Amino acid sequence: MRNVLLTVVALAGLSLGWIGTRGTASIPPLSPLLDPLNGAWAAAARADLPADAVGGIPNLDGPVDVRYDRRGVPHIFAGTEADAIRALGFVVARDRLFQLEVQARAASGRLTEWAGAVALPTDRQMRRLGLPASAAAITEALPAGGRARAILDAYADGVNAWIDGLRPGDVPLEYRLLGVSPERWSPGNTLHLFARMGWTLAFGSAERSYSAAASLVGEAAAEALFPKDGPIVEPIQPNGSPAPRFDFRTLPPPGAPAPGARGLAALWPVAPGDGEPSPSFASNNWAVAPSRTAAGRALLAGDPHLDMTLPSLWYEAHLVVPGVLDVYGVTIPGAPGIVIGFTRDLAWTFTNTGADVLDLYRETVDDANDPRQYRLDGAWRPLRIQVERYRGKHGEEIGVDTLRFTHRGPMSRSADGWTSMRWTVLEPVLSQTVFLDVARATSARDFLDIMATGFGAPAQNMLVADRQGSIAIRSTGHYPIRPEGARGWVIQDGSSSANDWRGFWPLDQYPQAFNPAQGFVASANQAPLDPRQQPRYFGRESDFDPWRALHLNALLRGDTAVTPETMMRWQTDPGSARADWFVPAFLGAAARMRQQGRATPGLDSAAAWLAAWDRRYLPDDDHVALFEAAMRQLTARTWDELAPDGGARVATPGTAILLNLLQDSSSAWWDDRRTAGVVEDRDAVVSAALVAAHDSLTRRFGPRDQGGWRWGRVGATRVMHLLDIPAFSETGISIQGGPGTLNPASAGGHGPSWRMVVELGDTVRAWGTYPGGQSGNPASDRYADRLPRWRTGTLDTLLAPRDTGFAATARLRLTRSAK
Amino acid sequence: MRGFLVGVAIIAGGTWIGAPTLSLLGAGVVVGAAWPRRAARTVAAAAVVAWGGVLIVYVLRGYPVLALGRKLGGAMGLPGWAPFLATLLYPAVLAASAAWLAQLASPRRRAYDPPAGERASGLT
Repeated sequence: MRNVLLTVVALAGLSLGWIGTRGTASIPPLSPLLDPLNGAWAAAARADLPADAVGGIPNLDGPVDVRYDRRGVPHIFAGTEADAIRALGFVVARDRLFQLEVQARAASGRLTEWAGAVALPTDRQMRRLGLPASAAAITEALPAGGRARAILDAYADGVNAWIDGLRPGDVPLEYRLLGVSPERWSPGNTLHLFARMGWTLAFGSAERSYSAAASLVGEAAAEALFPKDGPIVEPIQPNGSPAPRFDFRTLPPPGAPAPGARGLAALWPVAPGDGEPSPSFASNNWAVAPSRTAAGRALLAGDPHLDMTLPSLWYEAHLVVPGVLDVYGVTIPGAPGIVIGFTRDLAWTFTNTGADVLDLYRETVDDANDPRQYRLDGAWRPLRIQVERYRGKHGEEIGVDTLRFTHRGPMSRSADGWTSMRWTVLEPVLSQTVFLDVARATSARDFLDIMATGFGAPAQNMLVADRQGSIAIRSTGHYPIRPEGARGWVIQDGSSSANDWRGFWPLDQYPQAFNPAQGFVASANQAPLDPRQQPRYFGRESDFDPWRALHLNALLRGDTAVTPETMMRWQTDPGSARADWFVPAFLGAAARMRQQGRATPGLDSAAAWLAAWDRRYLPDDDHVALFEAAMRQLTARTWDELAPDGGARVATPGTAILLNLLQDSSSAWWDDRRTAGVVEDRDAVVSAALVAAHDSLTRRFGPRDQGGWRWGRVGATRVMHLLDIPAFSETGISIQGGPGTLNPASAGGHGPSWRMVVELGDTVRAWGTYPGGQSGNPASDRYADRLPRWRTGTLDTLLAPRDTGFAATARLRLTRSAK
Repeated sequence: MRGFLVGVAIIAGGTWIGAPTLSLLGAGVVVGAAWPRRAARTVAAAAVVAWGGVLIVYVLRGYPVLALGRKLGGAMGLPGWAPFLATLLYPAVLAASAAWLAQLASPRRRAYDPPAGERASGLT
């Protein structure tokens, strides 16, 4: 009997063998995972780069020497540009293989092949927007034998050489957890990646916010809440004014709902959250002319604010091809070149423009359920039909979509019918070699010229400084010229080609400045143009953020002897123009309530706590949390008209509009619709917001003077792993900064993704860091080693040697291998 | 002892060449067939030593095995020691199961006449 029992147990144990090799739906194959030599544990054995390694890449023109410095940055010394790119692909794959593939799959709508149906909505969104189709078409159209194709192929050579040479133990940990294997890199993946960056940075629909608001409060009110021009004017292109201008105006009261607007708003039902709208992706950059720097050399600083992930979006590298290329900076894994960086001659960086480069058209179709044709200028035109199939983990079909395209772009269906979209990101407007081309520029003027012809989307505020002392900025990208009278924030009638775009803005009308008299140029996602100087529609006010620009320009105007150290310090400056404007508004309302005998002890107490704040976002401060909570309360209480039936707000006006409204003490917008028979005024609502914020913080974090309100705790940020695995992530990161400051790292994990300061002169000096590390291996010390210094705003000195004669911590020698 | 050493050799060698499952099953079958007496526990011990030994070598070399264990455990929603335990138990159970079934069919088992105490315990 005992033997029978043991035999049954043994058979059950053997079934482990099956799971061990095949896995189940929820358990990855155990043998490849637990195998100590070639499984997950091998990640520990590969945590450090070997001191000396060799590798082979097919098609290499000559040997390439790669030397890693103590920060894990590869310095690639190659004989040709193509070899440098091959080596870049190799070293990026060596450190970030999983990231390369997961990003490419996300961009091409192929995550279901790894994750199954759970990823179907994400993949569908990508494909329905037409991004993978556009990337594929652009790749297809690249001329064989052309430079762009050669560069993409070279990068793929490098990545695939690493993949082909993988030993089982080299396969990154995440592949084992998912139970999948690396796929070879296709040159088209780079185009998918660029398309996804376009989606990240330029997928804004002014139509959605406007329509959602109009559907509740009417068109006149919606126009005022989401205006073309904001009330705070501090443009990127200097307007000659030594100070910001405030064009406050009276907001019309809420009106009757506009019929038919709701269906459009439902096209992309984006929940705006519970607080102020904040552009998901913001950034700062500024450059100072030699006349305003202590050393008489041009200085440049940049920090693109993006999703902070582990591994980081960025990978630091240095490419040297004698006489051709000597460029240092950060690349995005998958991009063949340095995206933001510097050479001996110049340095450059970007911020996002927030321009409206996407328009919607209501289409007339032949069949509402299965359209095959659309109406244009009185005739039926065939739709381009494309069937998309989604595959599961084992190649099985788990979904099918029929995509339809007009001559403008992909169509989507809403309650109101079919809508098509024209979007610059879907058009072949980006040169695949532009980042290599600008690395050869020798002056700021060169840089701008190259970008003007090679970069169309996503539009970026491109900042550059050179060693001759020139500084410049240009908001570069393709901005549509709409027909006379067309409003870019309102859906257009698609049945007439007269409503189509007429072309793109000419270069001389782009927002720009070259060596302006003020001695500095700066951008922080504010509106780039003064509407009095350039009235043409560029984007909606709600797509821009004035607060960081106000503070940044105040710092720049106040210092005529700027040093690199000052620039680094400013990147985490705790001051806030937003707080400078709104704190007095809260305190003023409380004081008037007190004078009128309407104050409560709770209001007095909250106001006293807020008044004690110096308006700096310091980690140890106990007052910031009250201000931030009060701003959320004020936003919710003010814009209750935009929350139908007490539910979530369908759209939220920008904070500058809220400041505008604060100038009017008795606007109809102040009335709280929940209190029938009572009409609130400004001071009542502002005071109530402050008291409610104080009460909610007390409930959540305890009494205010016991450490629970510390900003470093309440406002902590996080850097999550690409798969959102908490054990591979860093959370609870206390920072100096917050909403509206120059260091706006958020609890959601957005923030300064690459801080860089460069001084240009006879020699170039540079400093930089990002929130992560060079390695994608969670077991490696280089996985998140930069986070502690990034948190405190400390930048590392960047080493840019001209030759191989420096002390390297690891070396990789690459030679040509057989295909 | 010979069964143990052969088991360690088969498992270590098989794992080295990238066939971990096969090596565990193979070690079980070989040890179970050739040394049926206490084959299951012998080969289980061999598996623990073979795989656990690699982890010990990693630790001795300074590789961040403990930190990785914590992260792996966290990634799977388990305590940090769980990956270590799984790495020792999984090969032991697999190899022992194979060994038990193999020794049942082994002609050597039929030829072997265990002492009375061993017979009573059923652990042959």
